[in-house]
Amino acid sequence: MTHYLPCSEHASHTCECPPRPAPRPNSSINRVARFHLSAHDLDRLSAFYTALFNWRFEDWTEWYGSPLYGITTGPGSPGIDGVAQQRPARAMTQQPYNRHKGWNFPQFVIGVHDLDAASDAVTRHGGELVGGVVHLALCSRGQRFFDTEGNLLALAEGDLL
Amino acid sequence: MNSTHPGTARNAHNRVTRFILLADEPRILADFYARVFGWTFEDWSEYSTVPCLGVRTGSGTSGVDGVLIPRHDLFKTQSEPEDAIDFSHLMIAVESIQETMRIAIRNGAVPDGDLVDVEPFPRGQRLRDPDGNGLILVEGADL
Repeated sequence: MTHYLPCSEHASHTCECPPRPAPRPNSSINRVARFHLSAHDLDRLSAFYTALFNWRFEDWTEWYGSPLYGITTGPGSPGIDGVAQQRPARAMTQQPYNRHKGWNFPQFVIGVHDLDAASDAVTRHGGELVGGVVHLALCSRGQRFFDTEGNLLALAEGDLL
Repeated sequence: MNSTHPGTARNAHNRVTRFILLADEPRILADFYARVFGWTFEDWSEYSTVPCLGVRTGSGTSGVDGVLIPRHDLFKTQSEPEDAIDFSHLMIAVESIQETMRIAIRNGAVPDGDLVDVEPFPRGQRLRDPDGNGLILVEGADL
């Protein structure tokens, strides 16, 4: 049984806006559930984090189609896992972007049920979409966006458990 | 907003345990995330020397919460280039910043400024990994 919440602008079910599905228990929907690192040298990056935090890296390149490592940061809680992607390949997936001098910073990924609806909500409330919809690791579709203060995050459709 | 300091979870050491968002207008940014994702915000300013908001992203088991900090206040804590503060940071809890930084530098990391208070957490150190990704280590943190 799917439960629905009021639209994000109104606190009651009586408005005429389409309802949005409520997150399932134990799901990652609407949470920051993954992080992305980018690298010119994935092996150097994985060696660094393995030495520093004992993170484990798994080569997902064959599955993903371009250089990509899955990152497991450990069993403790709270905490999230991530992916590391080769920087040039990642930059090519969307429009050229140099607002922050390239891709030299980590990004956070928020799981959403419906990418189109979430993207609409981002722009309706003052955010700015960056590039087009792209295929992301660990989910079907993704979309980067700036929030109202210029923080860059990404939406990913589906549960990131 | 109720104020609840984050609970202790020492077993999360060496994981990415929080995210940091920066804002010139924290209340406007909080409103954005509340409307788009249903996140809730708590005023943690009483635990901090700077105004800051705790960010609750939900109750699902996969995911982390965060902190929303005024951009100018975070900028004042370290000598970081102005163009480097407009993005979110990975926060990683560690047992010892000194020991972690020793290993990090040996493996090619570059410190960003000095050891600082990263309110509301006890001590912090910003650094860049060998590929330039920005991190913040926090020590002795109740995460």
